[in-house]
Amino acid sequence: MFKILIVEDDENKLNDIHSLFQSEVNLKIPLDAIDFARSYNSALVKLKENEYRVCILDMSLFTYDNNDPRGGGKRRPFGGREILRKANRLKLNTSFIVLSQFESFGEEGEELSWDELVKQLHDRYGRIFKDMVFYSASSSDWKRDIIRFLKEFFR
Amino acid sequence: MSQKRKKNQQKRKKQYDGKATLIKNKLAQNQGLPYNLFKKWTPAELYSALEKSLTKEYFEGFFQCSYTGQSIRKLGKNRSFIPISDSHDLSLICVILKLYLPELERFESYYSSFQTSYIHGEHEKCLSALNLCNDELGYSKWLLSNEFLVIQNTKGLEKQKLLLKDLKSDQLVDFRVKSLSFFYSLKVENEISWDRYFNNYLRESIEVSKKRNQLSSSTILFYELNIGNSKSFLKKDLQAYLDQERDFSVYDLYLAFIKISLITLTKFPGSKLHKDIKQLLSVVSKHFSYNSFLYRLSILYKVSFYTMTETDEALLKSLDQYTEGNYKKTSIENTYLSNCAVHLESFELTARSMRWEKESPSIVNSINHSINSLIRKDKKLLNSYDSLLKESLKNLNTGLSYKILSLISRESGEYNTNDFIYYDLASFIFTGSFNPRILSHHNSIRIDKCSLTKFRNSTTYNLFLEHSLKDNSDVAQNIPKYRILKYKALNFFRCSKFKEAKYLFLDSLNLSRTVDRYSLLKNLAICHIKLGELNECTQLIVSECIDNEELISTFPIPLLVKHLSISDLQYSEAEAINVAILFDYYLKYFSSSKDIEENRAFAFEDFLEGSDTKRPSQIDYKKLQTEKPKLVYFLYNICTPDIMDVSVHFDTPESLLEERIKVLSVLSTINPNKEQFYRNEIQELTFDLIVDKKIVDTELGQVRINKSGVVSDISKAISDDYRRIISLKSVKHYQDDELIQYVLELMQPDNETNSLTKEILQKAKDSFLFGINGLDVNLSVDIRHGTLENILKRSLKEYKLMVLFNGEIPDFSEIDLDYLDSHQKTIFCKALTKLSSKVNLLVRYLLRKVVRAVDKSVSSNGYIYINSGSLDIIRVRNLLQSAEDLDKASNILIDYFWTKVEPCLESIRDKLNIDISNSISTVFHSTIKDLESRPELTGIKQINSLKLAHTKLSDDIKRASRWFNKASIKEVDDFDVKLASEIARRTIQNYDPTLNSINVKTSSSTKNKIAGSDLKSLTSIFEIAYTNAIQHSGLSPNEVCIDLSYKREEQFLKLKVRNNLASNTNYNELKIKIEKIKQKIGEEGNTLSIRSEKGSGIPKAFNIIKNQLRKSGEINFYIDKGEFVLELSLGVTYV
Repeated sequence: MFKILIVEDDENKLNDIHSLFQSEVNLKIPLDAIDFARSYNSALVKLKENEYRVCILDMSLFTYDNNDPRGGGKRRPFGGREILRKANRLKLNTSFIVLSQFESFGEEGEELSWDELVKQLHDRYGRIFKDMVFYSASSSDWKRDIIRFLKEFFR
Repeated sequence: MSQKRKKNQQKRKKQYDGKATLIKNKLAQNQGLPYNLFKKWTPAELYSALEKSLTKEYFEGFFQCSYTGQSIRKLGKNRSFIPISDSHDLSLICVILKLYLPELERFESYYSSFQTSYIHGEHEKCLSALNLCNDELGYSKWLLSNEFLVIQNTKGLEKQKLLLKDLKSDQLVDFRVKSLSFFYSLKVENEISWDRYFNNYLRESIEVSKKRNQLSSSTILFYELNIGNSKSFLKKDLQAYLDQERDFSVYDLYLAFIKISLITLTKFPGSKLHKDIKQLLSVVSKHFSYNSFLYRLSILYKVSFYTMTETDEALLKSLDQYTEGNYKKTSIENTYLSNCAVHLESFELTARSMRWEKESPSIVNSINHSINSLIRKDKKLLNSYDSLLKESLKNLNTGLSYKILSLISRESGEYNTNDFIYYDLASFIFTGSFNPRILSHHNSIRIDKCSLTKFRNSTTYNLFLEHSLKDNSDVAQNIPKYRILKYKALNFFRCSKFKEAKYLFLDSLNLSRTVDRYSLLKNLAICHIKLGELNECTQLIVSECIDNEELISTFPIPLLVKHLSISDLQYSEAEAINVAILFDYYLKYFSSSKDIEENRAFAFEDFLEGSDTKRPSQIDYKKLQTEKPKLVYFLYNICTPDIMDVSVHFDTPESLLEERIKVLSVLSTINPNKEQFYRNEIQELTFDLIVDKKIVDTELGQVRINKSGVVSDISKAISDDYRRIISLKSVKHYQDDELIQYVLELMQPDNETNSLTKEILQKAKDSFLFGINGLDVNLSVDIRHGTLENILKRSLKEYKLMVLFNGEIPDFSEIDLDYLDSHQKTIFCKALTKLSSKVNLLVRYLLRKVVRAVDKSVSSNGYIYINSGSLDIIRVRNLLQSAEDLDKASNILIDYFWTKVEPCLESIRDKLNIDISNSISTVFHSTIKDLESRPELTGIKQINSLKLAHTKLSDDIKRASRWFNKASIKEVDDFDVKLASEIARRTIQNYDPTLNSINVKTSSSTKNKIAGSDLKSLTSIFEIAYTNAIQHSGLSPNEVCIDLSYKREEQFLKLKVRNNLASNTNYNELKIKIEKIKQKIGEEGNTLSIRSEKGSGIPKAFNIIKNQLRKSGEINFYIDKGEFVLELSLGVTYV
C-alpha cells in the first residue's frame, strides 16, 4: 500500500488537509495510508522509517512536535527545504509537494519570494520536489491543485 | 632640423599665438572661454594657448579667485571659473598648477614634513607644519583634515569635537567644508573602525542622499573621492567634479588632479582621457621638480624618466639581500629609517626576514608591531589588521594610507588587482618610495641610463623579469631555491595553470622556512579549489587555522565555502569534521547564512554517521584518528544544541541540553587544561534544565489549591457538624442499589445525619472552591490574572497586530504599518480593530464566564462548580464513614471535590480547544479573506504576519488549555532564591514576546536553601516584582535594569528589588501613587481584592505573602536615589 505523509504544524491547515482526504473518496486513498508529522524532527523520523510515495510538506516548521509542553524548539523558517535536502541526500524516492500559505519566506538574512523559492527547490531537488501549492483557508484552489497532482501521480 | 619641420613648428607657433590672442580678447570682453572655437583643439594645444593668455595676476584679477592664502571661511568659494569640457578642463587645471608652481612646491614640502613628523609621533612638529602652511599658503582641505588628526592626537576627542562644532555653527563656512569636517572628525576618532566608518557612516549617508535625491552625482563623487576610498568615477561626472574642486584651494586642486590621473592610469588605461592626461603631463611636468608629486605621476605616465635616488638605492640593496636569502643583512641604514619611515619598507623587510629590531617610538612603533604581526600571522593578526586599517583611515588619501593599504592588499594575496596597483602607484607618488615591484605592473617605465645600470645589477629587479627564472640564469643562481620555486609557481598561477602551480607551491613549501609560507599556503589553497580538490583544500585550511584562528583572514574561505555548498557532498568522518569546522569559521568570521548553517549541521551529522554513532558523546574518541585540537574545536563549537537539533536522534530541547552536558564532560577529559571552563558551562546548563523542568511542570497543570490551608479551613468549618455525626451511631452505609431507599429517608425532616452531611458538604465546598486557600483564589492568581490574557494575545503582540483601546478609541501605536501608504493603512487598521475587538471579547468571555469557580445556585458565570444534590450527599456521607478523624475527613472531602472538578476542567479544555479555537479561526479567516480580496493590499507583508499569528495563537490556545489540569503535587526539591527568580524571569519572557531579555543582576550573601513547597509562591512574587519594573519604569523593556539582592535574617528572607526609572519620571506623582497603594494595602488587609482580580502588582504580591506563604511577612516600597525599590520580608521555610 502506498503511503502519504503530511507534514504540517498548523492545526487549522492540518484539519483542512485531513478533511480534503476524507471528502475526496474518488482519490481512493484509505485514511490509514495517511501519516501526519507536526515538526521537522518527527517528519524526518517518519521519512526514514517508512516509504512514502508522496509527502505534502509545510515550509516553516518547528524542530520538535509542539504538543510537548517544552515547546517545539527552534523555529526553522526553511524547515521544509531542509527536509527536502535531507531526503535528497538520503536518496529517498518520495515525491514532495510544498503546501504553503505564505507568499514570501524566511527572515532577515535570507528572504525569498514564492517564485525564487520554487526555482531554488526545482534547481536543487528537482528529482523529488514536484510543486509548491498556495494554501488559503478562504479558497479551495489549493484543494483542486493537490487533487490534480495526486490524481496524476496515482493514475 | 629639416626645413619642413621648422616650417611646421613656425606654423603651430603662429596657431597658438593666434589662439592665445583670441582667448585674451574673449576674456577681456568678459565673455568667458570660447569653447566653440577651440573644441577641436587638443588639450596640449589649449594648454599652450592658455599658458600664454593667463598670468596669475590676470587670472586672479579677472576671475576673482583666491586659490592661495585662503581662510577657512573662504575655502570652497571660488565660484567664477567657467567649465569647458572634461579634457579641456584638465588643460585649464594644468595651467593653474603651472601658475602656482612655487606655492605647490612649498605645499609639498609641508606635506612631506607633516608625514615624517606624524609617523615619528612628533605631534608638535606636525602642528607647526600645519600652522606654517596655513600662514604661508592658506587653508586647504588637506590642512583641515590633518588639523582634526593632530588635535585628536594631542588634545583628545573633546577638543577635536569642539573644532567641529565651531565650524558647524559658523554661518560663513561653506556647507561642503562642514560636511567634510564631520567625516574628518569621525575618521580620526579612536573608536571608529575602518568598517564602521565606511559601512555605517559614509555608505549610509551617501545611500540616504541618493534616495532623497539630495546630491548630484558629481557632488557624491566629490565626497567619495575626498572622504571615501573610491577609485572610480563616471566620465560624465568628471567635469562637474573638477568644477567643484576648483572652488577650493590650488593645493586641493593639485591633489584632485593627481588622483583623477592615477585612477585613469589604473582603471582606464588606453582611454581618451588617459591619452589627454599623458599629453598634458608631457608639457607641464617639465616645469615641476624631480621630487614633486606631479613629476612622479609623469614617470608613471611614461612621459618622464625615473632616476634612482639615494634612498631608493639603499632600499634596493636591502631588498636584494632579502631576495638572495641573506635575511640577517636586510636592515636598512638608520638614516633611511628616520627620513623615510613613512615608506614602511624597512618594517616589512624586518618582519619578512624574521628579525626584530629595537623598538622605535610612538606611531612608528605601533605600525611596526602591526606590520610584524600581519606578516608573521601571529595571534594578534586580526587586531593588527584592524589597527593598520585604522591608521590608514586616519590618514585617508595620503601617502601613509596608500602604503598601508598596499601592504594589506599584498598580505591578503590580492596581487594584480586594480586596487592593489593603485595603492602601490599612489604610495610612490605621495611618499617617493620606489619599490622595483612597481615595475611588475608597470614594466615599461622609462629609467635613466645610470639608474638602469644599477637596476640591472639588482637581483630583485631581475626577479621581476620573467626570463630570469630559468634554472640556468644568473639570477636563479643567486636566489634561494624555494623563492625561485615560488615565483615560478606564481607565474603558472597567473596563467591559470593550477596543476603545475600546485606542485611548485608544494615544493616551495617543503623548503621554505620564512614567513612567505602563508602566501604560499594561500595560493596553494586556491590551486586546490581551482582543481576541484575541495577536501584537500578544507584539510589544509583547517589544519593551519586550528591553532591560530587569526589566520582565517589569510585563506580564501568564502571561495571554498561557495564551492562546497554547490557540491553538497556527503562526507566521511575525517572529512566531515574539517568541513564542519570550515563552515563554522565562515559563519563566525565572514557572513551569516541559513544555507551555510544547514551545511554545517549536515557535516555534523555526517561526522556522526561516519563514526557510526547517534550522539557525539557516544563516540570513542580514543579510537579516532582526528587531531586533538580539531576534536576539541568540533566538540565545543559544533556540538551545541543549536546545531545538534538537526539530528533525529534528539527529540526534545531538553535532550539537546542533556547531550551538551555530556559533550562538555567528554571535553573535560580530553582537554583537562580547560576543565574548570567546561565545568562552569555544565553548571549553567544544569541550572537551565532545572528551570525548564519547573516551567514545564507548571505548563502541564495550573489548577490547584493550597492543600494544607484548605484542610485547615475545612476542618475549622465542619468541626462541630462532623463531631455530631460521629456521635450519631446509626449512620448507615448505603449501597448504590439502595439509593431510592436513602432518598426517601433523606426526605424525612427529622433525619439529623443527613442534614449534618448536607451542611458539611456545603461548608467544605465553600472552603475548597472559594476560601482564601481555595481553587478560585489560586485560579485568579495563577491564570485569570493576566496570564491567560497574555498568552491569548501574545501572538498578535509579537507580530504587531494588536490594537489597543483607550475606552472605545483604538490606538495603533503598536501596529506594524511599515511600507503602507495612507490608504492601505486605513483599510488595514480597520480590519485589525475588528479582529482585536473580537479577540478581546473572547478573552473577556473566557475570564468572566468560563475560567471561574461558581456556585450554580447563585450564578452560572463559571465552568467550575460542585453539585450538592441528594446523590452527592449520600456519596459524601458514605465517604466520611471511612474517616478516622477530622483532618482525614477534610482530606477525603478534598479528594472527592477534585473528582467533581476534573470534568469541569475537561469542559474548559474543550471550550478552548473547540469553541474558542474555532471562533478565533473564523475571525482570522474572515479578516485574511477580506484583506486578500483587496487588490491594493496585494503583497503586503502584514498579511503574512496575520497568518503566522493565527498559527501561533492556535498553538497558544492548545497550550493554555493544558493549564486546566489539576497541578501535580510533586515533591519539589529545596531551592536557592536564584532559581525562583530565574523561573519568574523566563516565564515573563515566555508570555510577552516583545521582551527580548530582562536584565536581572543578582547579588547575595546567603546560600541557604528554602523548602520546595515555597517555590511556587516565591516565583509568583518575583514575577510580580519584575513585571512591575518593566511596566511602570517608563523605560523600554531592554533599558530596565533590575538589581536583586537578598539575605537571610533568622527565618525571614529579605528581598530587595531595585529598578531604574525613566529620566522624565514625575517623582511627585509617583510618590503620591505609592502612598495610595500603601494605604489600600493597609485598609483592605487580608481580604484585599483577591476575589475580584483588582489586586494587581504589589497588592497581589502582598496577597501571596499573606495567603499563599501563610507566614508573617512585610512589604515596603519607595523611591530611593531616583530608583524604585521594593522590599519584601518573607517568612519562608529554610532547610
